[in-house]
Amino acid sequence: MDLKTNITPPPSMEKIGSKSTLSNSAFLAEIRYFFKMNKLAFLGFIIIVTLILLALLAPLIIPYPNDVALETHVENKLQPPSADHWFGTDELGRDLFSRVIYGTRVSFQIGLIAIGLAVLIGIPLGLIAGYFGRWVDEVIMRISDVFLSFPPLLLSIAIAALLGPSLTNLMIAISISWWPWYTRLIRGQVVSLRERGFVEAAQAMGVPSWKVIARHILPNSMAPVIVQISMDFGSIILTAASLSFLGLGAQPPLPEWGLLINIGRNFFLTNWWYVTFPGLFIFISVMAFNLFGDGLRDYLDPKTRDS
Amino acid sequence: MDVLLDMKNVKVDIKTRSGTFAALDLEHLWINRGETVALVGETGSGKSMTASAIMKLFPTNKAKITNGEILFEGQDLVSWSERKMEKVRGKSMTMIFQDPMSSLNPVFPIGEPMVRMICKHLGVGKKEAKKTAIEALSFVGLPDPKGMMKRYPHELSGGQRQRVMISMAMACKPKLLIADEPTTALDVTIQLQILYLINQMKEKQGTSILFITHNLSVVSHIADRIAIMYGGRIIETGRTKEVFRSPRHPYTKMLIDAIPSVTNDRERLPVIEGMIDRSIEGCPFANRCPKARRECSTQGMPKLEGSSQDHMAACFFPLEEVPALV
Amino acid sequence: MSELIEVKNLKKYFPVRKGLFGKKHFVHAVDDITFSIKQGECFGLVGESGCGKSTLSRTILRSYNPTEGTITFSNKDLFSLNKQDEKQSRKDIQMVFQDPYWSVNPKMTIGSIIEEPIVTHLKLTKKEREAEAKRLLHEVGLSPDFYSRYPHQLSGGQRQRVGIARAIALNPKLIILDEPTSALDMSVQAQILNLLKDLQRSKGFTYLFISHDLSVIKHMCSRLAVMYLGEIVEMGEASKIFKKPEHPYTKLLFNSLPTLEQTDFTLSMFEGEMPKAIDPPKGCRFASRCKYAVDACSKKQELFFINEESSHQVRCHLLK
Repeated sequence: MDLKTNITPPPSMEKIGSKSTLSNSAFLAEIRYFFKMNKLAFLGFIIIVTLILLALLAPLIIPYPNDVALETHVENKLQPPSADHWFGTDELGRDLFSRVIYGTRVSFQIGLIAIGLAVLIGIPLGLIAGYFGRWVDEVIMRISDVFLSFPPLLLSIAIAALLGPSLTNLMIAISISWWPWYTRLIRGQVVSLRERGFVEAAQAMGVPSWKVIARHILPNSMAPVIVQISMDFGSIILTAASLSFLGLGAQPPLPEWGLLINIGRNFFLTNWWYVTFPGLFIFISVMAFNLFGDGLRDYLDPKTRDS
Repeated sequence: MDVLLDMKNVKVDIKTRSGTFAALDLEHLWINRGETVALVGETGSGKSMTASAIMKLFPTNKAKITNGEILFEGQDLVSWSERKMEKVRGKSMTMIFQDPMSSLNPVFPIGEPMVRMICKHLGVGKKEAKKTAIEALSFVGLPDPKGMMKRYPHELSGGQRQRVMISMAMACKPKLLIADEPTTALDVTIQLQILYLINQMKEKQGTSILFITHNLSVVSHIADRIAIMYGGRIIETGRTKEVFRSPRHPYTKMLIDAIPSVTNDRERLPVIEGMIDRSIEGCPFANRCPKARRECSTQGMPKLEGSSQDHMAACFFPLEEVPALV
Repeated sequence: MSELIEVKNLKKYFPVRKGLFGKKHFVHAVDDITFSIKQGECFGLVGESGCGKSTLSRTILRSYNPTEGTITFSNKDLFSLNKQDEKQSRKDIQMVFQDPYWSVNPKMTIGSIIEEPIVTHLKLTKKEREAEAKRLLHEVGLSPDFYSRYPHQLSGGQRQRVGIARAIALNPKLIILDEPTSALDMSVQAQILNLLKDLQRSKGFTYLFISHDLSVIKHMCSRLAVMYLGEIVEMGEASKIFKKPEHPYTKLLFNSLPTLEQTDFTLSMFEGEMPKAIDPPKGCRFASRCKYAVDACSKKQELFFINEESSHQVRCHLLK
């Protein structure tokens, strides 16, 4: 039995992903509590916010905006980090700091679009499969099983290779290999929600299916999706970098992190800074999203919650 | 009779975001050897917290015993280390829950944890333990106990699972069994079987039983003594028959009256208005009590009082005692 | 009084397959059930979990289509309605669920929970709906302040009142009460039972009250049916059955019930549990647990009147 029932419930037990159930000040208090309980998540959050700011403001803050594109200064090539070039320069004499920071913009853009597409495909399919069940469920879930049977990285590589190397194809490849995870997640939620009285009550009183899904099922199944998105964002940045590293994604001269490492690899032994800084940025952003996602999961999961 | 468990002035605090919250403030609760004591209360009354305090297993690490003593066979458990407690749990004192599924590991056949536990607590070999386990399973009336050892929890019905839990509990011949709402999820006919078995444990092994429930009707058939809880405190305690015949605390009386009865017809059931308010001073029931006077909330907490330990109530103005029919 | 709903020879079987290529078996969740509920009465349905009482109520709600049999509601066959009647019947049959924690949407305000049936069936302006919801809140004994609150701010009893408000919002003819108090504390149970009785008296609702708690059924219902393994084994006026239960299973249920009044109650062991309803035996389904069972019990048993004037029916040939 649930021993927790004996404790007076915390002010809001079912806040799960719902800002609307709380008044504004209570919502702020809730956020403060979340970060107080999850210090690492707070660290992750700070890093993410910083990276987002960097991505948004990149064109304004980088010292050598022209170095992002094709401009070359061969006379300056492969300079170690200095006051002028914080991260050193590349083989064409371009400022690596500018390129890496601009790379944040590229990576976040890829992540956002790829996840957006995956969610846009995955969630409706999951809702339909879970809600209508029977053969609809069978068909959708078997198709998603096919996709799930490949490791996402491998599948992305295969699809990207098939579609041809370009940034758009990279994003398509990633979302195609990621949507089944969301379908699965949502379907599980829907199946358990379908048993709940409020769904049954709505059906019994003749509320149309789409309304039951929109009002009762979707809002109550979003919490794990939000967690999943925050965790996947890191993996997708990593996958995008891997694909670009293999030459299947971003094409030069676009300063994508994976691409930078791929080129820098040739100079690895003599010019350490070339691969180090883009690598560090990949590492930091993946870690930040994982820390934040972990914290979010613990916070939203009633089982690991203690208060 | 000699006392097995004696809890005095036990306080449990829980730290929450909004401050410290007194989850339990137990003046006096004791269980004699070979006796069934029922702890009755509604949601949030502190009855499960009492069980947690005895086992020193709290659902959250924010809960702490801050005061009082819990004497088990004369030794104060409050000061015991976690390691010392581990040796007692499952052996001298054990617990069964409302949902046996949550305490049975679904990946093991049910014999597995039984044998492991018996080996650990009784210090016997595997073969011997197996024999004990089969005996225990057949004692609780499970068909084909040998085959039962190899079955998985999901293959059993709710009633059978609860029987397995009881057989596990009794295999090590504990001195105290804490049963936390063991029949709440079960049907009436199955409930009766489980009550019977728990009673058998008391009669055959002399186990003392702390029976936690919100269902007053169940209590009347299994408990020697009962303790009614409200707002984390015991507000009335005594021999079961005494308490039912002549409840002294208004809350107890109202609780008994609120139960629909099979034998008499009442158009409306008397109800207890309002809700528990943890913030009030004095008697915790004062805000809902029809008999409350101003003094109830100004004189501090009422203490458990009565003519003898057989019947006590924590009320400043207890109800008149109904004379016994001779 | 006229019959509001008549259930005739209703059967609902669910197919199950043992293993991937195993033979198809059928769970006889509801097997040949016939009963009727009169306008304005409270009809009790008693049985243990797995006896089919939930399947029966879900079939009346039309969450399931029956395998066989008919349900006539307000003189119309529930399963061959035209579109308009179909909508009307969705309005006329409502349900209150067992667990108030599970039966209200945590993401919606109390107001929008209660307004949902109104939005679905009536054309009212936002203002009218709000006024209506507040009136309903008042009707179930909650303050109108609850309108903009969320379920997690409410206690179990208050949530169940919200569930009741939602059920009565459209002034239905039949309300199915599926164990409406079994998840609640005793003192709260009394409040909810009183509320249900008051509503019935003032609005003339007809209740189908499902419960495993006999004392609650006794308190609420004028007639009742006892179900065992998909069949009705005893049916009749509550007062008669409570005075003298006839069927061995009903007797067992009554004897198992711990009550405050019985002081000489001795705990005794009654073996056995209700089996699963997969391919049940042809004869009496209770025979395997019945202490009076004889060979003839393996023949098909019919429900018959033991007492014509009080319409007390039993399914046990030993009582013939």
